[in-house]
Amino acid sequence: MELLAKLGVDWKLLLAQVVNFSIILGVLSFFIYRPLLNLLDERRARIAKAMEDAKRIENQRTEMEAFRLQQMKKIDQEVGAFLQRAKGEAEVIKKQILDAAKKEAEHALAKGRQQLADERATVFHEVQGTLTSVIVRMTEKILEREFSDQDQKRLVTALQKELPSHLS
Amino acid sequence: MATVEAPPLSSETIAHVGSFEIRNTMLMAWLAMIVLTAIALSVRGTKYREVPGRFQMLMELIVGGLFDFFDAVVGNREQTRRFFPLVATIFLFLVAANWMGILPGVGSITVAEMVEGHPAALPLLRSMNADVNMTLAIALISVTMTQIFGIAMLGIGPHLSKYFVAPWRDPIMSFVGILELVAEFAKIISFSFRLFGNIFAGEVLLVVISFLLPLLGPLPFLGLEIFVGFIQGLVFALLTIVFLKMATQAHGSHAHEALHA
Repeated sequence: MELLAKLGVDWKLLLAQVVNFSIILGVLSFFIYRPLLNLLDERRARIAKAMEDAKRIENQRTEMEAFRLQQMKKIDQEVGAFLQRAKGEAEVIKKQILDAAKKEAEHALAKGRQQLADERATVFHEVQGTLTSVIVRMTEKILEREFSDQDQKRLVTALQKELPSHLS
Repeated sequence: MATVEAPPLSSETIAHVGSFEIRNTMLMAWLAMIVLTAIALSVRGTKYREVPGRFQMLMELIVGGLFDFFDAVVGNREQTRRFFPLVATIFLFLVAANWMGILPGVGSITVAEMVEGHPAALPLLRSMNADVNMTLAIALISVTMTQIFGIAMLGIGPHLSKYFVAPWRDPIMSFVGILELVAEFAKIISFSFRLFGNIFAGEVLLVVISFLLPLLGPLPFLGLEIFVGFIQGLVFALLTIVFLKMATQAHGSHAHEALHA
C-alpha cells in the first residue's frame, strides 16, 4: 500500500481515467471507426463487384464472338448449299429448255420435210397429169397420121391404161 | 552548482474539485481527448465521401492499416471488427498522449502550489502515461474487457473452466488453471508498469540530458521518445488483441511468453 501511495495511485483518478477512456472510445467509434470501416468495406465490395462485372462482360464478349463466328459459318454453309441447289435446278431447267428446243426444231424439220414431200407429190401429180395428156395428145396426133382409127383407138386405150404406171 | 531535479514518481496535484484531485497527468489526458475529439469531428466533417479527400484518405489509411494489422493477428475479419474499437482506441489514445508528452511546455510550465505547507512550483502538464493511475486504468480496462469478451464468446462455464479445474479430475490442468489466474493479475501489473516505466524513464532521461547538454543534446532523445511513444502504444494494443484472441478461443494456447515482451 505504501508503494501505491508513493506512486500516487488514487481510485478516483483510476475511475476518472476509465471514464476518459470510455468517452474517447465512444467518440472515436462513432465518428471514425464505424463510418470509415463501413465505408472501406463498401468500397471493397464495390471494387470486387466491378471486377466480377468486368470478368463477366469479358466472358460474354468471348461468347458472343464465338457465337458470331459460328453463325457466320452456318450462313456460309447455307449459302453454299443454296447456291449448289440453284445451280442444280438451273442445270435441270437448261436441260429442259434445250430438250424442248431440240424437240421443237425436230418437229419443225419434220413438218418442213412433210410439206416438201407433199408439195413435191402435188407437183409431180400435176406434172404427171399434164405430161400424160400431152403425150396422149401427141400420140393421137402421130397416130392420126400413121395409124388407122382402129389402131389409134387401141393404142390410145392402151396408152391411157399403161402410161401413168410407167411415169410414176 | 545546479542540480538535476528529476520528476517524482507520482503525478502532482495542481487543483482540487471537491475531493477530486486534478493531477497534471489528468490534465494531459483531457488535452489528448480534446485533440482526438477534434480529429474525430474533422473526420465527421468529411461527410465520409465515397471518393475521399486528402484528409479522409489519410484517416482511412490509418484506420484501414490498423484494422489490417490487427486482423493479421486475429485472422477473422468479423472478430477483428468486434475487438477493433477497443484496441484501436488504446493505440491512438496512448500514442497521442505519449507524443503530446514531449511537446515543449510539458514539465516546464509550472504553477505555484502549496505542498505540505511549503510553496512549490509544480509542472502544469506531465506526460499522461508517466503516472501509474493512467496506465493502471487502461490495463484494468484491457484485462477486464478480455474477460468480458471471453465470457461473451464462450459462455461463462467454458470461460471459467480455463482457470478452475477440479484437481481430482485433472491435477495438471488444475494447477495450470491457477497459473492462468495468477497470470491475469500479472498482466495488469505488466501492462501498467511497462508503459509507466518506459514513459517515466523517457521523462527522466529528457530532464537529465537537458541538464547535461541543454542545446542540441536532447534532440536525438526527443526522436527516441517519439519512437518509444509509438512502440509502447503499439505494444499495449497488440498485447491486448493477442489476449483477446486467446481468451475467445475455447482452449487457449499458452502464449504467455508474450507477456514479458
